[in-house]
Amino acid sequence: MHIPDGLIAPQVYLGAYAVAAPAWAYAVRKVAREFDDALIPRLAVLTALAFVLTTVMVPLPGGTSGHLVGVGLLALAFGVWPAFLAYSLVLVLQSLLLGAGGITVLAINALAMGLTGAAVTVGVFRLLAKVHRPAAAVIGVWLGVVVAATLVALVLGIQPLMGSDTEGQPLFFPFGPAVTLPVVVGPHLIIALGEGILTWMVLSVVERRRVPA
Amino acid sequence: MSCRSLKMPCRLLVAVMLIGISSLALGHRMDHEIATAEAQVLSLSHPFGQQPVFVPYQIFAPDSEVAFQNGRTDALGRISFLPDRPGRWRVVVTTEDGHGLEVRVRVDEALAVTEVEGPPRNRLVNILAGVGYLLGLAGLLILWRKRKKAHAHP
Repeated sequence: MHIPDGLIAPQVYLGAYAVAAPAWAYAVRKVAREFDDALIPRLAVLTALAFVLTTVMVPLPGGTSGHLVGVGLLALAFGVWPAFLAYSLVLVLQSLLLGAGGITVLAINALAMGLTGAAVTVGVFRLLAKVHRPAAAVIGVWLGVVVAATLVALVLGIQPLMGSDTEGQPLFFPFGPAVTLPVVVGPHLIIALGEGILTWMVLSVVERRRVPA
Repeated sequence: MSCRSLKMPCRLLVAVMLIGISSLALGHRMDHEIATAEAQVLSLSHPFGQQPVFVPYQIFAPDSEVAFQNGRTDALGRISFLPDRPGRWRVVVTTEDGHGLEVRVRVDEALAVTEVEGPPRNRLVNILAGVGYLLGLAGLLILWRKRKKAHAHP
């Protein structure tokens, strides 16, 4: 789902940085103020696990592949803001070490997956946890991933409107939402279900200190 | 002037007009010539070994923002091109689901490829490195916060 460098217009990714920068600053202050030091080792291990999860490629029909996102695990274990920060770090490492995603598009990927994905996951979990906690986690992760995928598809889909060259060819990503939405969101409807189940399995063996913030 | 005397000039006039019209038709004609040359071939593959077939790509010549070549990968997931000048060429592949690949190919004066830059290939090592960096950063963070607390409460 990561958007790589070079596909997004500068006005879009710079705008995303303008939104992400204060969000990161707020997250750092909130985490520094409220985060329990004793949770740092656990945060590190689960962040590393999320990083590894994002490298798990799932083969899809047509020869392409998708991958797990991993932010749901962090969100349910530590809350939205720690998950946002930790996942942003995961995105940086993916970009630098694996060539997945990019630095110019870091803010877009972080906002879509790290913040929106985490917030939706936690929000849905809180709504449904009293009914059935495991199902709430699975559904929360599923919806978080699907919403993040939808955002990514929409950001990609608007790129043809961002500019074209002298021959009328789009300067950036060339496919509109009619293509990106089914192609990006469709596979994640399935992948996210598996990720939701896997996330609950991991969390059920990890001791949680508190409900997501 | 009689009609008979006008016949030949008329015929000549019609003949000239026909030649003129047919010269316009020459503009629609396309000539071809085939030659053997050594092309650079970029072979693409997905993580599970399948080839990305008919995936759009663009190739940019050195210092150019206008595509030198664009098309789709062939039935075996390959892109071939013949660079016509030295410098750093860019091959940009974009899939419909937003994945992409940019490969930078350095071509020398003899139009031979001297360097190819693309995404890292050794995934396992880089994954382990990423895990290591994360755990190491956490360790540094713990140390830093402990020292901060020690200074605050000596």
